[in-house]
Amino acid sequence: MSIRVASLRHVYHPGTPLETKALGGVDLTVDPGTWVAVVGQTGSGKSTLAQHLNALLLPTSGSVEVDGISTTAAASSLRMVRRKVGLVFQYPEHQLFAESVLEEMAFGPRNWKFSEDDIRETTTRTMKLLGLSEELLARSPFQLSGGQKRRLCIASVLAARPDYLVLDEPTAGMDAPGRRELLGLLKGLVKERIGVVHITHDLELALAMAEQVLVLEKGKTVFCGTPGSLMDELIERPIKGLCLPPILELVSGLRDYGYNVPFTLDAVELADRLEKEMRT
Amino acid sequence: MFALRGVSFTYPGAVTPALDGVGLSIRNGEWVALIGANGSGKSTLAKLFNALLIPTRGDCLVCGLKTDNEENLWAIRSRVSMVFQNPDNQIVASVVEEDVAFGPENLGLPPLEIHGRVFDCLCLVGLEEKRRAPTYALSGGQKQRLAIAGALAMQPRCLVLDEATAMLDPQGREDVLKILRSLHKRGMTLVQITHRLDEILDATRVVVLGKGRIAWAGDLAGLFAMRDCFDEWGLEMPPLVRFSRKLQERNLLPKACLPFVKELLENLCP
Amino acid sequence: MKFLNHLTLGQYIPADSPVHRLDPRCKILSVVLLLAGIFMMKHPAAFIAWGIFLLFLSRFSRIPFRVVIQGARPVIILVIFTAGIHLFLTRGVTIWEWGPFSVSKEGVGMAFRMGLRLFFLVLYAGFLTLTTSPMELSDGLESLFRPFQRVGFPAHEMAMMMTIALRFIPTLFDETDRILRAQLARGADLDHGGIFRRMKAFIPVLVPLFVIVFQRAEDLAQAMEARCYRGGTGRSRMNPLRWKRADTFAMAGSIVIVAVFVLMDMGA
Repeated sequence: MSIRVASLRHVYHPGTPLETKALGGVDLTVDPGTWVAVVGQTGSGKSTLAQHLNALLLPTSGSVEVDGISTTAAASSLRMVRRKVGLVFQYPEHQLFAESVLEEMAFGPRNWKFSEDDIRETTTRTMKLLGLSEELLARSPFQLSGGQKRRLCIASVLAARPDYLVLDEPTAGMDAPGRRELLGLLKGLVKERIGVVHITHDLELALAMAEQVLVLEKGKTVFCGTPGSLMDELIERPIKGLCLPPILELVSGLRDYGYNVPFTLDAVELADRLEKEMRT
Repeated sequence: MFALRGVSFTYPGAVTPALDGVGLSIRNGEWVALIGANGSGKSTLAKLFNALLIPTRGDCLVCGLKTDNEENLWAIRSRVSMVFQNPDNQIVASVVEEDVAFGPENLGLPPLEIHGRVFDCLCLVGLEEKRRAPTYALSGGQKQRLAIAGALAMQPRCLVLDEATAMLDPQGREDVLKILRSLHKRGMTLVQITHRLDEILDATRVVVLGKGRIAWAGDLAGLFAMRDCFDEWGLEMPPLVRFSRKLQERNLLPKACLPFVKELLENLCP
Repeated sequence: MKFLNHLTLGQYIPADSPVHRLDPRCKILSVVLLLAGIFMMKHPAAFIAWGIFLLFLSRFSRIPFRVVIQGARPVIILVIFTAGIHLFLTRGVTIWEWGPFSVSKEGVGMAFRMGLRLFFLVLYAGFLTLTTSPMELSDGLESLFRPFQRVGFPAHEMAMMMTIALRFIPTLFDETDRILRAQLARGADLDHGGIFRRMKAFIPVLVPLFVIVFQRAEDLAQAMEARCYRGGTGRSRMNPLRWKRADTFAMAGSIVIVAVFVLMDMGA
């Protein structure tokens, strides 16, 4: 039971002058209860990949299977896939439309034909998971603060009880405390056995949060593995299409010079290790 | 350049003021970073600088002109240009060079001068190749650079950037910062509103806003010495800054070394 | 995800041709004249004449003929519908009958005439947008309507509205697409159900779109004010319009062509 992407290729507008190869053969496995990060710059194909995971886009070739159901099978299986994989777009506040927070939360479940009791239960549960107080239910979603809106959008997708959650830059535009809070809440989802797919251009964030990292560049897989092995590989050679966070650039420079310092995102650890090196 | 005295601002219909008793002055040529968490009042303060908002209490003077006097609006806005957060919501025209020309056209300048300014500003932001390109096809970073070009075409003395990099990816952010650095070298006054501390490392002065008031003001070195207050102010110390400070505390790094990769390597790897 | 390049909206194709270089006011006025002429078409030979002139214009403006024809694609249904209406509803000498439907000889004539008139209308109007940039069009219209500003017609505001609307059409397409996908991802079903159900299903797409549009309007207004915008007073242009001899020539040419075609038509 997992999401399996095999040799996924996607071409936009095939056969027209606007033809673009967005994905050129990508493989990925997402197990429930794990955090997978998909990292790449603009144009790497990560947003295209995200839309394949819940069948908003269908493969030009290759396959996407969610818990054994292929997205290219019958149309009814498409809806099943969409039910299992929730997708939160970037700046999801742009999709708010309901008159009350309760209605916004109920939209997803209602589309999937949840009973009213079920809707009430899942609304309460999901709002608690995302740190939203029940007293917000009667308010208009447009009256909430920026951070609350963001969490509401994620909650409204979670309310449909998907097994997997794909988030495209969930912390975009947030300040440090907001970001920390949201990521903490999302980490809690993994404990609920939800498979989280985190799409981002921030390598630092991906390395900090994920158990598995997929790096894409111009639609091709450039790396797939654990954060630890990614750091190891970065020691060997620079990876194309990866904008190194400044601290790793610094580590790279220090190592080139001859200091034996580890690839770490922890500034204090790096300072301690460098101090040791300098004193010997 | 700017002088604010006892400025308060409350949005119509709001209960609490967005800004409360703010006093601030900014001199020509400074690069002032205005930082704080979301909701601290930074954007509100930014809009006071070019008279898009007028204080509900107190005075705001721009180059000696009071912002509450309607007759001054024109002069103020031709001296202070602003770049906003959402790249799309600043672009008026369908073609790059036409959008840059929008400001000078509003000033009623002769066509030859407009052409000159458009070309110069596009070169300054590195978009001269795209002068006839459709604005719709630009990336987020390019759109923001276009917005900067449009603001520069007014030939302002000061550029105010209201979270101008918030919606950009790392490459886009770096492109914008490069432009800001070169502008500052040429003597432009910069007021940079942001919540990302890794973007303010070139600032000559830092002002921290919290809940509508000035929580602290000083220079960069002073700011990073105040790290115990960062949680309260909603700020996050960039890793390189933390690294530099640790080494500086142990005397392994000169105090004057800036927290950039290049400078750190120069000092640590002679 | 980028949307297609709006071939349906009479996309401007930049090129360096004599037609492109004409003053937009000349082109607007000429097209109006030509359209009036097309509406008076009756004789089959006239259609051939107009068709040849279209070919000639296409060469002269360096736009491939197939691109010109593509401009009619979005209205092909309308043309067929119009022709169909005239075909079946015109009374006269019946030449074909089937149940309640009857087609008269006059009906066939009308269907051809109306259908082709609409067809040529769209193609000739399309020429205007193919050879004139949005900014030029808006400048041209503003200039033509400026005399009416004295009686209160907001020529400048209208032109500015046009410029901004055209600028945001692709952006809005993208945003609608994004919102649509976001709601589809939440299980929205926009394909099934009767007409009322389907309309209701679009509320989660339309409301967010409206919210975005209103926010955008506010932001854009601020950004324009920040760049010293205060309406049309005292505004100059980067590329001011200049009426040249070629424009007088083209204008005169259009008048002559229309006059000749119409007279020939009446005579035939």
